[in-house]
Amino acid sequence: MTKYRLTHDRALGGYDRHIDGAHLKEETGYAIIAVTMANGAKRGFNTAMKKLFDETAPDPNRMTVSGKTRIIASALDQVFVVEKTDPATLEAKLIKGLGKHATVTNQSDGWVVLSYAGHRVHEGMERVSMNDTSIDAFPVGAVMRASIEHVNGIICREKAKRGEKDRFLLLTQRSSAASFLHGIEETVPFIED
Amino acid sequence: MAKSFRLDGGQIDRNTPVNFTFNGKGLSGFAGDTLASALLANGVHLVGRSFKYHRPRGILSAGIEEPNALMTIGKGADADPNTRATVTEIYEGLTAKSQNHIGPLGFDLMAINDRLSNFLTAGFYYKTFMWPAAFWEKVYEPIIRYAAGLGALSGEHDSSRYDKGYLHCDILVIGGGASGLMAAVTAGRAGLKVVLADEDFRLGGRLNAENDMIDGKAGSDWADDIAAELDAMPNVRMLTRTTVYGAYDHGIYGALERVGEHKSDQSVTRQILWRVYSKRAILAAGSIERPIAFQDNDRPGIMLAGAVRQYTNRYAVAAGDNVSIFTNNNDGWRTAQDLTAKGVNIAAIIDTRQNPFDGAVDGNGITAPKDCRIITGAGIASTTGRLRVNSLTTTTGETIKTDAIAVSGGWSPTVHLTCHQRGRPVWRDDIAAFVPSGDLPVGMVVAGAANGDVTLSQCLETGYNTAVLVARDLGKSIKKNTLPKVNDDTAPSFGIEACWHIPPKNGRAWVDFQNDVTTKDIILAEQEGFTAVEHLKRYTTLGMATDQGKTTNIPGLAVMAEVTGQSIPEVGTTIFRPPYSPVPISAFVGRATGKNYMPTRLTPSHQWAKDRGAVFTEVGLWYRAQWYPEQGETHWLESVNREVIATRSAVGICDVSTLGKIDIKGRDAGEFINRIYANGFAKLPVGKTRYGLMLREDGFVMDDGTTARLAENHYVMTTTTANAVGVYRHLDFCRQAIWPELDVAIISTTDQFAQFAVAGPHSRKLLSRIVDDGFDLSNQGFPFMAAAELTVCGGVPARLFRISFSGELAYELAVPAGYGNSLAETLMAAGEDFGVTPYGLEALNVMRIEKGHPTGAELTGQISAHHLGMERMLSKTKDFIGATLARRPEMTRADGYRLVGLKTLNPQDMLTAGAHFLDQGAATRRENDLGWMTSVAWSPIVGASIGLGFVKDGHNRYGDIIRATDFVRGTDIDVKIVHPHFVDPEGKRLHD
Repeated sequence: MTKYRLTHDRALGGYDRHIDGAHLKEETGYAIIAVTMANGAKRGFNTAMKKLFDETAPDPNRMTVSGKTRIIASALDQVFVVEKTDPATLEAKLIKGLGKHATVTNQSDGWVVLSYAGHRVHEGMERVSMNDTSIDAFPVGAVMRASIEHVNGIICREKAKRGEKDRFLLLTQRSSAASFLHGIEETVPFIED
Repeated sequence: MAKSFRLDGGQIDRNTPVNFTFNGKGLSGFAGDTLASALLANGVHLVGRSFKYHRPRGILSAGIEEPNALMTIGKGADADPNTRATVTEIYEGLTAKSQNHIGPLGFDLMAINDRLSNFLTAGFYYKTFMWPAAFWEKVYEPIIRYAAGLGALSGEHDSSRYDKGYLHCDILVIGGGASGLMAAVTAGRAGLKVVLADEDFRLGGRLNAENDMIDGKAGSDWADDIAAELDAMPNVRMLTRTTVYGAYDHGIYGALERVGEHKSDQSVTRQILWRVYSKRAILAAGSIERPIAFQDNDRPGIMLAGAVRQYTNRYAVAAGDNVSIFTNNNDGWRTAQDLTAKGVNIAAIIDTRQNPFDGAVDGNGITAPKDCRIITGAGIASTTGRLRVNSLTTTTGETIKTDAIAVSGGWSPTVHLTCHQRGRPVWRDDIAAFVPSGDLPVGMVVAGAANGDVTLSQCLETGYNTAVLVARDLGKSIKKNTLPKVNDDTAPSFGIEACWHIPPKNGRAWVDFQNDVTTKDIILAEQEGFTAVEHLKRYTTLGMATDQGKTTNIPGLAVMAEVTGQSIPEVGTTIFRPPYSPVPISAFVGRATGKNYMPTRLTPSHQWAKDRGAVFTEVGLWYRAQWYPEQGETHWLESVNREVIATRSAVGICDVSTLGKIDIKGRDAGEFINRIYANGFAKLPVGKTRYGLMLREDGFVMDDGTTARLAENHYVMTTTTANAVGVYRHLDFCRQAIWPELDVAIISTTDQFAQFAVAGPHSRKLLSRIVDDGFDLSNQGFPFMAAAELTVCGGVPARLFRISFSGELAYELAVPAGYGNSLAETLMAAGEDFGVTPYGLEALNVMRIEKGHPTGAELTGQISAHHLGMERMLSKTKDFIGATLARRPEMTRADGYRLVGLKTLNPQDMLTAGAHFLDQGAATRRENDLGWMTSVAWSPIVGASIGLGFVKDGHNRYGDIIRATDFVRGTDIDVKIVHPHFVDPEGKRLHD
């Protein structure tokens, strides 16, 4: 029996900061599992997804929420299933539930999840994203793969909570997450009232 | 105390005085003043020196077109040169300095140039500085640059904040004058998403400069009301102090917002560069008044008539005590009328038209000032006054005392943005100006004065109509609305009769104030054959620099037309290109400075490596540990040699997480990989890894790496760091476009795993201390090229591959990336008694060269499998990407390039990558070129500088001595061709 034990680091050290009308936070503890539908398995896949989450896979550029699970369309015939749970547990659940209809890959350590919410978030987003993230063009449940300051990521709009004007869930790759975060963080002081 | 030229009224805030300095002298103005209006209010007309002749220059205009009043604003590192005083709002503590003079502004030593003007005509430097050629860069150019020019940058780091952003709208309205406001409010009321951009800090455009009435109220008040309405609309974004400087493809516009330049607090964001994505754009940028060229028309105090009117009405500033008007249209009279109403004396009105208003001035909406000398059918022949005009002489020979001359040569629609995609404006005789043609940037329509409308009612109407048109185009219907009422039906028509210049008798008449271009220069250009408009521009510098033809274009073209016997439209215009007005480089840079200069990718053990004092290097965006210096080491080579020796003699660990990792899954994953790689993968068993060679369609090597089969339908491919994205893209293309029938899922897991190489004779022993019970690490249980999924350190899921880049007994261990730092620490702790050593990229490179492994330096995209000596890997029993073209004769010729090892004969010699090979005694000519050195390293194992390279017929030349000649570094040394495996050529260590 090995005596050594490994400890797990949060990619951004659990970043959590309120900056001038915006709350930017690393959301930790999420399992992120990539699910790719098998060729020709659409019916079986949707049935299995429905059974697992009471939701079929969303169309491209959309996200559905089922209880505490977010299903985010990440590519054609591919979704990320995101849930605050142990990655191995969710992975096993998906492998078992989807069977031959999909392949399942654990991506929990490859991606970093940030929430970006508040009443001055839109002003920040328009400084870092060339895509239109205003509520009319990008409503709740909308998803896009886009770059934030030259770093790729996935932008999801979520329902704003009380006191917030906008709420976004941002996913980005772990290796460049610090630059991604810095890009957003830096915009806030630039925004004048 | 200097006399004040401040009048009553205006749109300034007299309750808020503002103090500033000009050339060190303390002055004051009011909030709402520009620097130019505040200077004029203090009686300051002399504000700079001209570019070439260092002539005294004064404020000409009241807007962005200003060619003379260019100032350096601010101090030290943040000083901003070439800032137009006419658009600079004053703020408490502003410091302004004039430019381009040696000594005081009023006594510029370089004004001697004006005396030498006969030698400094257009193109003089093309003729004068021909000999000796070597003097041009070292002597002539520095002198010219010193003697001529505008403001200078501080050369220090600019600590100011600059930002950038992106806006999206249905309609971008460019210009916030009468037309722009009408268009914006019409579109805004229809619910369209509108961005309104105007370069002024106050919306209204010329409404703020004139005494027009709209709906029974002052035009400026109407503008305020509309601005307030727009401000209350959630679908409208108003950007004041914003210049739209460029029209680009697909409805994209560049705009510069000067958000903080008017604030005393310089720590705020100064400028924001917006990229505006619009579905449609309405250009309502107004028009710019033109001067008329006459002898000595550049003296301070000689201004554009519309500007004089603007200073009077908006800023409540008189241009002088005794102002003269010189005009070729009715606008000059309007200026006289407005000035008279404010109590400013009009010395004379000189109109080039013989019979303006058919001789009846009064009763045509124009009232002639009382006691004013009116001279028609004449022009100004000359002026006097060294630092400020003090008299004029008419072409009729009459001399008139005056301290300011307001000149109106007509108005030119601001067509610049309509031309940014090669649109050519067309000439309209009735207003003697170019107007936009139908060849506009896609999605753009033009309204108001920018389209040649000359009355306020026309401007409001076209603003409204274009908005309705565009709204309908975007699917919004707008109910017919009544237009605001304007009482301009009794106003005189524009009434221009073209007069562009009065030929000087014995002096110079200035066409381009900023670049010191005179009518004589244009005539000279014609005489010397530079008649084409683009040649004219470059030969004379007409319309260059910040002016870009705003005030100079038409007068310059008119003179050329006259001397060539053409019409102005026949001469044509130069192409207007972005930017419309200067954009500081810092605004383009925005936040991309320092840490924001470019994104970085950090490995999962970055923090651990940093804590150990690793020296990092950039590999693409990745930061990788290059080596880990230890105490007492004074040279990087000491560290690298130690790391290599420790790894080969004991055990080393290296973070190799940057290698591309792609999970390939699905029923047809095996078939897919078999088609991708040139060598066979069909029979790769579960639990095994194989080296793979990947070709492009053209048969050249694309990448190499290993692929492991972890389960029946689950493979893991590794790629080189540099090609990770390219290989993934290639796989995705093959999956989607070439073999869509295959059931394959590919997903990048590069970021998911922290992967460490554990290499050296003790690597197995080290790993055995961290793998969980039950996993057989023995040579039999986990042999060379084995692969497995397992757990380490009490249940952490991991992947283990027995592969080796170093040539030692080695493994690569992957765990989820969050464990990266911890895994590095644990490996070091577990291997402490074996002397475990972390090694960086440099030692990794040394060891791979010692083993003859190719990497990015060898896989250049022009290398075939044959060149690498891997021709036997090309399967003859299957098809694969690149199969056909890889067998082209030139790719496989027997005497072609071959990858070999190179070794110095003299241990003191150091090889250099990029050196070319030549036979001994061969002349250094291209036809004798034998190949080139791709990679070099100092090998502490071989004890010499070694390298890899491609040599023609290299495999048959082992043992030959050739020369490695490096033309760049000036070395030419003898090297021996050897087998590329310098260490353990039998590969015994790998299999132990």
